[in-house]
Amino acid sequence: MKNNIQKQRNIGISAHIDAGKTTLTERVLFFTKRIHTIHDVKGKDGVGATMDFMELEKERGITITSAATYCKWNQFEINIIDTPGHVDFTIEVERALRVLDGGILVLCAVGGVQSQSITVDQQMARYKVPCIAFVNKCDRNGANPLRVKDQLNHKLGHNAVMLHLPIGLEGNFKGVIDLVSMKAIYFEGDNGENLKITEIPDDLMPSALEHRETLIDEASMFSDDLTEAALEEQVTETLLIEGIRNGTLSKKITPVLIGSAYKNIGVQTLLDAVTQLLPAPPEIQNHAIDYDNNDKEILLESTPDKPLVALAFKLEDGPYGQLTYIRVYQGELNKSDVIYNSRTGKKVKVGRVIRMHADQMEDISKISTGSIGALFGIDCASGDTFTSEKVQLSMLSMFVPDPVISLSIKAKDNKSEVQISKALTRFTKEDPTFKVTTNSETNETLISGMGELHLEVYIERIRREYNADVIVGKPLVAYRETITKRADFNYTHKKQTGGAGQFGRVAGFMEPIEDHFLFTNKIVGGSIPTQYISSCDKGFQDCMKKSPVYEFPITGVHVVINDGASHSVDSSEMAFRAASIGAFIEGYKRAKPTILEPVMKVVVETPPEFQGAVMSSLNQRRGMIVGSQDQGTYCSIESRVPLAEMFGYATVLRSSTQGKAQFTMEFDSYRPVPVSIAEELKKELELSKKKSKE
Amino acid sequence: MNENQTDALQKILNIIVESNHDGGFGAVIARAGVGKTALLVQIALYRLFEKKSVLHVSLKEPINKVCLWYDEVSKRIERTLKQSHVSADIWDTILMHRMIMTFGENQFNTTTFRERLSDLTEQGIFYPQLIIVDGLMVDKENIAIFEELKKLAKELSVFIWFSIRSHRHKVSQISFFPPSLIPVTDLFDVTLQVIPKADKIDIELAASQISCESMPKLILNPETMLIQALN
Repeated sequence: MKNNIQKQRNIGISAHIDAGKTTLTERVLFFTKRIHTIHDVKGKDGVGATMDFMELEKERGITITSAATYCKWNQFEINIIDTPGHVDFTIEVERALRVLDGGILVLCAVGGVQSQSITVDQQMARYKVPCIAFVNKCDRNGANPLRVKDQLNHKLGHNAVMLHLPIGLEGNFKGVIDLVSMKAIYFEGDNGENLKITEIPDDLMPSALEHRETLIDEASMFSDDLTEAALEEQVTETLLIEGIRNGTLSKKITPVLIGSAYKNIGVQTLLDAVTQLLPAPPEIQNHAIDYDNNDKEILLESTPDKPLVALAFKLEDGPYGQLTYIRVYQGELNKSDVIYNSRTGKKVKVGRVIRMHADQMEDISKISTGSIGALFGIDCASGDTFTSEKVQLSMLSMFVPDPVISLSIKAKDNKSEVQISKALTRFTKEDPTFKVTTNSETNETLISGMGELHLEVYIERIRREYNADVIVGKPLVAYRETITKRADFNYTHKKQTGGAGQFGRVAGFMEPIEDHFLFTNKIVGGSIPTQYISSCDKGFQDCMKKSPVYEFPITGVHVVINDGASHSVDSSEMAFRAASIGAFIEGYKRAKPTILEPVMKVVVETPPEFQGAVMSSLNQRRGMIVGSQDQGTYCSIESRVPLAEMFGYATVLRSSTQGKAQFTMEFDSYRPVPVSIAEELKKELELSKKKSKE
Repeated sequence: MNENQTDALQKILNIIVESNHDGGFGAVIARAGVGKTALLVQIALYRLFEKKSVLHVSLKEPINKVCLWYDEVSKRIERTLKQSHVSADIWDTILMHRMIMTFGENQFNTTTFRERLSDLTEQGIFYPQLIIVDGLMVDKENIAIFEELKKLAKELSVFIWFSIRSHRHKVSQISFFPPSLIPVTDLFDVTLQVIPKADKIDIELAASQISCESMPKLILNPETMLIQALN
């Protein structure tokens, strides 16, 4: 790997689902001669795009994992991360953005700024990633790149300026006008590989001049030389590019390029823009936390002479063991180096160092400063920092959102159980948003993730990659029961039917409390002998596990015993335990029990035009709308909705908002269920009891 | 809070709101940080306790912060009433009858507000009986908004309370209005000016169209920021 850091770019391609990221990446690889034939996403040739190497990705036409690849353009070395567009795989986007220096925001010329573009833009802003915009699909009916540029300004608050203008649009889309060189560029040849540069057609000249003036005006804000040149009307290409670059790096300008990846138009000019406008690694400030120095933030230097600081940003379990994707921020990482994992303090010897090209790999001797590569056989967790000395440096952590949806899974047979366990261990290690828990009440394995598609993909991967038979259950709602009023009990347990007799009387009352359970002994005069009090407590606690009414676990009960009776021969611990159970059942039925259900805090983010539809959908789900927050381009609606009503909501929301809204969900509290629902639950319970008897 | 204190505010609110069924305007005027939002939230809470639906529109704070105001003020009321906690039923009533709408700075206009409101009313999700507008800046550009909101208040027959920020030396003698809002003074039926004094915070009531004879003297308790009547 040559070591000219100024000619290195680490870029990501992010966008809304189906905006054409993977197709664009495929064309980039073709024009940079990394691949020699073009395969389309869901292509008729059945090969599928090179970057979507996972079988499932090719089948569904979506990118699930962010594949890293490397290419060269005009002596520049470019590391590209193709990221998923679907919101459920948002951690992949977060991971990619964490290690990138610049981004290409791909937008659809027809769809414009879509909901996921907003999320991706927010993610880019969080990691301060400078970006350029590429308006793709200009050959489609209804394409309007200028409208998309306006949406970038209004919806995302960018200062977007056109760098290119289209020559023709929709079916007539032939090429682009470069507003920097003021030339028309046509893409000729079978795959658009031959660039024909000509003068701008006369009819497009006025529009080109007008947009160039805007471009110069905006760029001159970031270059005094350009301002002077503009005043003297002597703007050169170099000066203009410098101004635009300064604006882009400071995130004050978003240059907009246009094209159609599918029709091979505008890809080479986009690559030129990547090399000219996006930053080299030293131009981005990266910080690490120095644990030895009071958690002080220190600035990393992109030089090979400094001690190594590298971040493991992604793990992948492949056929040859664990593959660790790594970005070197400072120093160099050579084959056979001994490095330290700053989290565990363990020494690790670097074995194979490779450069990834989707699922292909190429052995290299080192990963230079600012570059991205992968290591084999390193045991670490995602987000670990590696250093060359035993220094306590750690890169700032990644934002990991909490999972929002759970499903129960079960193996069909013993063989599958082992395979599922292996798969779950691997997935949880690879993906911090994928969690596995066991429901202590039902003993079921629950998998949790960022959405239904997220979990669906993992279940499918368990089936395909691990050859395991999985039974996917309905997500279970953990209902509870509680009492709503004080009730007395006085129960005598008496058994004298042969053998040793049993006798015990327990009296007192129960009342609602906020805590889970409380037992108070107010017996005076020894009506229940002291040695049997703990048995009474145990008896009551046993009852809390399963209610005598609806059979859900009980919470919020204070039991007080204040009277009782015993027998010198027939009383025993067992007798008082049984008496307490009887007393609890007696009191519980009188204490007006009610079922509690988990209520979730649901926040829906939607464009304002769908606010009514979203509110209605929440209202129909017994949701209580707390409020709405208007942000101009989108609004968020906060509500409290019972978990039982939220299954399948993602699909409903997508269809009622044209896929433009998204929601997050987290546990809020337990609330009583309405009487009608309680009745239904009772019927269901009776039905399942009948079935189990049969 | 003894009965005397709760009665005082409720009595005033009843007189003010009941006599303005056709869309009245009220303003809480104070300098920054004196207690406008605390006072508005108390007004809202007293209506909520009566199971009246309140729409709280905030132009400066996000939903969770507005919710915190309600939590905090209701806790203070609990403490003053010496109740251990507001019962779950009452809190449910508050939540069921309260709706919060927040708008980013410069995002608020009556067209959007009407749209949001009709999203709620047309689907039968929420019908406001009292509207609180907190954080609408007093400047010439917003005069049209006040006029439009007056029309809306009349259409919906609701009373709207506003918080209005005044400046130390720029308070007009007419109804305590900041000079920039004088052109719309006529829209307001009642104003409460909050004036911090050495050891207490006075609430001066000025009602242009309401008889305020026999009104008790009100103050804002500086410790609890709750309204109380001065005996």
